Amino acid sequence: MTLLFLACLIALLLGLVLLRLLPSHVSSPDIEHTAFSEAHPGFIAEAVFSPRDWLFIQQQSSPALNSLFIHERRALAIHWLRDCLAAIHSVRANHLRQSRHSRDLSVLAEARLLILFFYFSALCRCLLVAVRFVQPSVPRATALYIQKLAGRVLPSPQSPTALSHFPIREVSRERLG
Amino acid sequence: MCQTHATATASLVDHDARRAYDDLWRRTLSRISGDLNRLVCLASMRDYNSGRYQHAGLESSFGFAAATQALEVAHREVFWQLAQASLEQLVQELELYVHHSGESPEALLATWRSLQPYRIALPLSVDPLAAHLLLSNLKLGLEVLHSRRCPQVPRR
Repeated sequence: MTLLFLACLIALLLGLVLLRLLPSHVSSPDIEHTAFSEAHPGFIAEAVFSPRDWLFIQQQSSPALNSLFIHERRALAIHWLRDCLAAIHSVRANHLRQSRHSRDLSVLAEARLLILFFYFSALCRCLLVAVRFVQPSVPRATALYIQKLAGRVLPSPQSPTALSHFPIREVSRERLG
Repeated sequence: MCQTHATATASLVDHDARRAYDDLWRRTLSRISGDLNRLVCLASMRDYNSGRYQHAGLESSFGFAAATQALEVAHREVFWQLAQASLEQLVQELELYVHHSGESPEALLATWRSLQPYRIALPLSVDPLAAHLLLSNLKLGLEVLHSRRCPQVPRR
């Protein structure tokens, strides 16, 4: 378990170094805007790995509830991570397909993108393993980092009025007034 | 006014649909306490087979298309409010729903835990992961309420 966390930590540090080398936004015209950001509003990772919900469940003092919560959150985390992986693979496939027809490819930029895709993918896979063994809120920092990275690699579409772009922060429960 | 509402309103480009939406909130939804009650109410206006919304009053005042659009947007708005709620808030929503249902809490909890009727209360074409999150939280919320009443092993 310690080794796993150590591996995640090293991967994280490597990624941070890598991201410093990259431009602030992967804005290659080859990379299509996918539905990822639409389909994965920012609150999902926050909610799935929420320490607040875990605390609330623990306050109920029911071991059975604790184990049900872990079971449910694990399923959600796996769903989210698999979707992340599918999205990054789709973006990478699109990019590879389109770059075959491109005449002004920069080898360095392509290499950096490739490393970024592999890094993102590896991070998701590491977390996929980790969530099977630890409590739901433990890998929260890594999950939020993946979400942030996803926002960087997979930019959101520009239409703020789209139905699927409801805000990600918690809002007042009183609708009127 | 909350941002979800503002975004929902902005998505209604049709003038009649926006009027229908405002009318729906003013006359109906604002009088219902709790988003879960609103979600169930909106889902009950949708035909089980066709998935089409039916609201005679709105349709006669604003037309079928505008009424449908208004109901659809309101349904999605309420869904997102609930999907973003914490587990604790969702348990409060469930308590409110149980309180307003008029049924005995034991009977309602037993039915909801076994049949999971809340599954059909979700709008069509919402993000599957957000839907998964809400359904999972509702399931957990029901188990919390149940464990408060009679501590037992919850179902998986």
